[in-house]
Amino acid sequence: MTLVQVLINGVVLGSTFALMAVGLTLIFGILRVINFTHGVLFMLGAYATWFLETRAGIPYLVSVPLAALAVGAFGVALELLVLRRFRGMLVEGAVVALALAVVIQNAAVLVLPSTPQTLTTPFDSTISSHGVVLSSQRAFIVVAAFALLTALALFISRTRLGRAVRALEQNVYAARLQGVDPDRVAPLVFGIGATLAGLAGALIAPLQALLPGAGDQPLLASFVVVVLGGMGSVGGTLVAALTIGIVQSGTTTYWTAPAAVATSFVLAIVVLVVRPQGFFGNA
Amino acid sequence: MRKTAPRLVAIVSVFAAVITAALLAGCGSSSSSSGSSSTASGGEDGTIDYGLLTALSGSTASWGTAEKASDQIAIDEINKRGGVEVDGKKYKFALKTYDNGYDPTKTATVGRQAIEQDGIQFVENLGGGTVAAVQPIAERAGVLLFCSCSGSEFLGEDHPNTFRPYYDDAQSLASILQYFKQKNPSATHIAQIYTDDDVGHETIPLTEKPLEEAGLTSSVTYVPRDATELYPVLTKVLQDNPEAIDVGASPEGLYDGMVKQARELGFKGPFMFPDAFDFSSASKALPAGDLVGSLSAPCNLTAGSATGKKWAKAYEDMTGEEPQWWSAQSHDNVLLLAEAIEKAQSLEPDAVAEAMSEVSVEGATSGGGTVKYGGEEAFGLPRAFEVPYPVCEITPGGPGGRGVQKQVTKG
Repeated sequence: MTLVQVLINGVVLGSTFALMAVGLTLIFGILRVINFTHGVLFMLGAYATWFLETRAGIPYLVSVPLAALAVGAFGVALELLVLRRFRGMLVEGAVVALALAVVIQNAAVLVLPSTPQTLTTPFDSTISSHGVVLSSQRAFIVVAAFALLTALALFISRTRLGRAVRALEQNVYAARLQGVDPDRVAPLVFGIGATLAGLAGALIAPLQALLPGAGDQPLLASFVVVVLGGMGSVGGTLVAALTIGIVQSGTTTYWTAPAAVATSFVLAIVVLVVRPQGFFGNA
Repeated sequence: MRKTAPRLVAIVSVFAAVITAALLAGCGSSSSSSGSSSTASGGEDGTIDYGLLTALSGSTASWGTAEKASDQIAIDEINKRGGVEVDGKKYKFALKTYDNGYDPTKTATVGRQAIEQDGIQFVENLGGGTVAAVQPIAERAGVLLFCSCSGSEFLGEDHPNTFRPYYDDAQSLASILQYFKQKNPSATHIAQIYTDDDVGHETIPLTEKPLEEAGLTSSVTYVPRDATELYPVLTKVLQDNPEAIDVGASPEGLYDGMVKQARELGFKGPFMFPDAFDFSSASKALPAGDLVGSLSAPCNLTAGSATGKKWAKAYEDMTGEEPQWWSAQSHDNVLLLAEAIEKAQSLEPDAVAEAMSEVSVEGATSGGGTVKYGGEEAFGLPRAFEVPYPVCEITPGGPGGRGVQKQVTKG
C-alpha cells in the first residue's frame, strides 16, 4: 500500500506545482520575463487567505477566491508599474523580478507575525482505506487544480483573448499585424499567472505552518516543472508537474528527503539533454 | 539613439531596484553606530556593546524574538543598578541586534558587520547550524562568542573563547526517554526526524547512548529545515510503526508541520521535543488535541525563585506573550558576563573568558537558581551551562481541548 500512498502524495504535490508553474510558463511565454516574484505571490495568496479568515472572519471557501483575486490584482499592478518596462529583456527582467521578490518578502517579514500561522478549512477530515490516507483538503487541492487548469486550457484554446495570448506567445510581430495589442494582453496574462500562484498558496495554506518564506520551495520546483514541460505549454506543465511530484514523493519515501529536490534537477538535466525543448515545448 | 534611452532607463531601474532590495533586506538588522564595542574617556561613563546575531526572520524568528527580549531584560537590569565598574569607570550595556535568519551565509555577513565593522567584543549567536559561520571570525578577532545553540563541536580546548549558554539536547532527550520508558515499559522503537544540517547530523550520534540506556531503538530520517510538505517523509517514517517521534531541534514551522501531517496520516503516539519548544504558539497553530501526550524537556512552567518570577514578568511585559523559558539562559548569560567583567576588572575578552568560569549568578534558567558555566564533569564539555532537565507532558483538557502542559519530572 506504500506505493499507492507515494503516488497519491506525488499527485497532490504535483497539483500544487502545476498551479504555480502554469502561471510561470504563461508569463514567460508572453512577457519573456523569468518571474522570480512567483514565490512571493504564492506566499501572499496564503497570507491573504489567512488574514481574511482569521482577522476578517470570512469563511475559508470565500477567502480563497478573494485572496487569489487580490493577488491577481497585485500582479497586474506589478506588470503595469514595473515589469512592463523589461518585457523581452531576459536578464534585466529576471534581475528586477528577483529584486521585487526580495523587497516583497522582506516587507512581509516586517509586517507579518514572526511565529508560524495556520488556518482552518472545512475539509478537515481524512479518507482512509487499506492503510492509504488522503486528507479531504488534499483531495480538494487535486480537484481544484485540475478544474482550474482545464478551464485555463479551454480559455486559451477557445476564446478570442486566449487566441491573442497564443498569437503573442508565438510571434509578437505577426500578432501585432493581426491587431493584437501586447500592452493590453500582457497585464491580463500576468494577472492570470499571479491569480494561479495566489490560489496555489491559498489552497496549500491549511496544510502547513505559514511563514514569509512559504513560496521559496514551490518556486524552485516550479522552475524545474516549466523547464521539463516546455516553456509556454500548459499540457506539458501539467505532465511535468505530476512527474516531478511523484519523483519527489518516491525519492523521499524510498530514499531520503534531502535528495528529492536534487533528483528533480537531475531529471530536468537528463530531459534537457535528450529533448532540449522539454516534454511538449516547440523545437 | 532611439533605443538607447529606454535601455538606459531600464538599466538604471535595475540598479535602483537591486539597491532598494538590498536595503530592505537589511531592515531586520540594526547595527552599532559606534566604531568600538566599549567606549569610555576620562572619568565619563562608557558603553559595552553586546552583539546578538539571531533570527528575526524565517522559520526560527520566534526564537530570535524570545532571545532578544531576554537579553534586553538582563541589560535593563544591569544598567538600572548602574552598570559594571572597571578600573573606576562605569560602563553600561547596549544591545545591538543583527538578523542572521538562522542562515550560515547571513550569519557570516552580520558576524563580520558586528565584529569587524562595529568592533563588538562580546557576541551571542543563535543556532548550532550557523555557529560555524561566525566562530572563525570571532576567533580571528579574539572576541568572546556565546552560542545559544545545541551541538558541541564548537566547544573544547581549541575554542577557549566560545561558550554555550544553552542546555544539552542529548541530556534533554535522555530525560524524556527515561520518562517515556517508565510510562511505556513495553515500548521498543521510536522515530527520529532531525534537520538535515550540522545540528541534526551532529546531535544524532549523541542520542545513541540515551536510547540504549532506555532500551529503545530508533530509525533516523533527515529533512530540510525549511521543508513544508512532509507526507512523503512521514509515509516512510510511519512504515516502521514507531511508538514516538523525536523531532530534535526542529524549528517551530517544521515541527508544527510534522505533528499536523503525522496525525492526518494516523500516528497516535507522542512527539518528543528535546529542544526549544513553544507550547503556547504550537497549541494555537495546531488542531485541538494534536499535541496531547507529547513530551518536552527541559521544561519549566513556573518560576521557582524571585529571580525567575522577575524575569518571567519582565518577559511578559516586554513581549505580551508567555515566557519561552529556554531563553532565560540568554538572560542569565548576560548577567554572568557582567559579573565576569567586574571580576576580571577588564574588558579584554581573554581576561573576561577566564573569569566567566569562576562566577555564578542567581538566574532565571530552569525557573530560577544558581547558574554557572561547567559541564566538564556532567557531559565532558567545558564552558557549557549546567542545568536540570525536568520533563513536561501535554495532557488532555485546556481551552478548546488544546491540551495542558504539566511538569512530570523534576529533572
